[in-house]
Amino acid sequence: MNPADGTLPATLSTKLVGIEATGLTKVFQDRRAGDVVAACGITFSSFHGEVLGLLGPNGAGKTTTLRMLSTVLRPTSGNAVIAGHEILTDAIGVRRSMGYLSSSTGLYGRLTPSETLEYFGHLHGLGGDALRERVGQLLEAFGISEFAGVRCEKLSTGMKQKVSIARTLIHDPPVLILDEPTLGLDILAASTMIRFIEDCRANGKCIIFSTHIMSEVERLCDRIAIIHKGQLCAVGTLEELRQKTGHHYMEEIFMSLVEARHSEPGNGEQRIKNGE
Amino acid sequence: MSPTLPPRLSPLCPPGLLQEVALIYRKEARDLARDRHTVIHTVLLPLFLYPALVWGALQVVVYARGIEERLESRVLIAGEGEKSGFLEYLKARSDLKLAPVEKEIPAGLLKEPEETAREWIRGGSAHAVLWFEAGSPRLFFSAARDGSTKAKERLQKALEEFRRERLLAAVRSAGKDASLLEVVFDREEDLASRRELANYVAALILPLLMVVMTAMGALYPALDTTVSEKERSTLETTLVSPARRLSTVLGKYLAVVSFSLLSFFLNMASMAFTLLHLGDQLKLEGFSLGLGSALVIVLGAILLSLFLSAIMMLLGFIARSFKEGQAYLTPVYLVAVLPAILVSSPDVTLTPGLATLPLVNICLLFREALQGRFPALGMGLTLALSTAYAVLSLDIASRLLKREAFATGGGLSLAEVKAALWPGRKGDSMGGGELR
Repeated sequence: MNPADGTLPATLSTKLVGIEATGLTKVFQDRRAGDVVAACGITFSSFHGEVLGLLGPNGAGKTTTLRMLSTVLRPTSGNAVIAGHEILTDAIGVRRSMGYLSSSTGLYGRLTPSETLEYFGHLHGLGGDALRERVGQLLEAFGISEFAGVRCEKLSTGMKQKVSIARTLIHDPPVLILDEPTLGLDILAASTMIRFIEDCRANGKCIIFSTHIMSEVERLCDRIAIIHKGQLCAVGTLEELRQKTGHHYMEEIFMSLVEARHSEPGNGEQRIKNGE
Repeated sequence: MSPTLPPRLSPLCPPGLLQEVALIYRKEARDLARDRHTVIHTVLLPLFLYPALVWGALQVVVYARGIEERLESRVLIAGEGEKSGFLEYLKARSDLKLAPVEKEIPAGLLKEPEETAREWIRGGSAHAVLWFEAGSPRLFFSAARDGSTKAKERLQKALEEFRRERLLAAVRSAGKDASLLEVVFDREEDLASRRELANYVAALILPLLMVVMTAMGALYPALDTTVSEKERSTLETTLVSPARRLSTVLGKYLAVVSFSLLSFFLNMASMAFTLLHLGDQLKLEGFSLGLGSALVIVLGAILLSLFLSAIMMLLGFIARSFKEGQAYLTPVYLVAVLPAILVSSPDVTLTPGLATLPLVNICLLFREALQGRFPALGMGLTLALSTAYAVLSLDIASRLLKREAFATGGGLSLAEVKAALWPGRKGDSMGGGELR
């Protein structure tokens, strides 16, 4: 959906919507700073078979937006529908339909990868042979069969990340929300992650991929949503953003959009004092 | 190498509430069983503490008693008063060594009785001073010195025996029947059986130990399942799982209760072993429990565990870090022990009034059961109210887990706690919402 006029581009109107966010706003109360607006009126749609990149600097509001989508945070206003489930009224339905991965979704260190996958599989309603088969397939697919019986706390960072991805996929969710999934990974592990996301897209999943690394966005994302100081500056394909800004490289596009948004009257003010 | 994703799954059948609770319970219990702190405090300590502690304490007591028995009390005898044969009687006793003052201090240097006695006892030259004056002799000793107190006890005992012998001799020389005096002095009979005596002693000591071990068993699991999740960055993993918040709290809670009860029962087993092997030295050799008492104690343990686990988890949810959690829970641990100390007074019983006080009621329930008493009203109230307290604490813990501030890894402020307790109040509309 175009945040400016609320319409979808013609090429996307026939695609199946995976995520539809409408006016998502989150205001945190802070005794000293007053009310802090972490996300303000975020509106976008994401479709099956595409990767939507959420691009923004640290503190832009990416994680807050994704946490609202994953039902970890409740929006102050606005709503979103994920795979047909509303975040405000059907949080469990949302959580059953998505896989969520972020730097704060750590693994239970004293469980093994195999036990971790079985646990989440059971919670999602898998059991018996189907679960065993699924766990085996995922361990095999991510090359962690050899470490299936080792406690997660003893695995390397890259291996842990693979187990985390397998955890998000155990129930084969139609929607994936990935918050900076390559953070802290070496080149090999990051590359594996990128290819995994590409495979998921090929499998028809709807993917939101948050990052502040421009090269990953250019390589991976079908469309890009640029977020700055809690506000969505633009949503479109790389080509559309190039046309809109007149710049070629992602860094230049990003800077141009952010500066344009910042210069608009009434924008850039993230903090609202109580009662004002 | 890029992973090749496995084929799509057919639609899944999500578990019901109870299944979810069971799943989370199994996961938490497995997780806790692999935690070193939990294993040490919940399994090893209750299992080995008592045999080691009691055996060690007994060795110390036996050693100290041996030294005390071998110790000869040195008594300084002074004064010019009538000694009436008492001095001769004392000289015949092997546990007292008398030192006439004229042998120790030249007559001209002798000071006032109190001053002389203080100097001698403080200086270690005598354990006690017996000063014969007109009328009764004066006994000087220092309660701050074990040897001096022992000397006083020996002198008092000697004086009592001396009086009795003199009294008997006087009665007999007057041609009277002395049997009445002998009956009064010799025939004392304790009507308590060995079992009753042992159970009475056990009822004074065991409730305290039961509370301590149940609280210790709950402490680390409560921290591990709540605040430690924040530190290990697994909280969000738990929150984005499809489990209901209620299932999450119940699963964690049942795991904490299980470990707390495990600690209690291991503690009981260890105590039984200790009593079996060292009971005679503890004056508990006749200790035994009927089936009714055992069942009431198990019920009390479950209530205690339910209550303490809920309170500890509640505070664990509020804490920001493991360290802060420990700071919150240690006072709870101490507060839990206080009622057990208070009820060790023999006159306190499980009245309906005391049955309304959390922890105090369970401690008294233990005590009554250990002595084979079952006051119906007090026990009924204890059962009902302890369950209600545990449910209330658990309900609050469940509401706290739904607070956003908890979900984002921060500690819960007083305002957040208030909002959890009284939802819908002013100030709860923005930022501090509830999760589902």
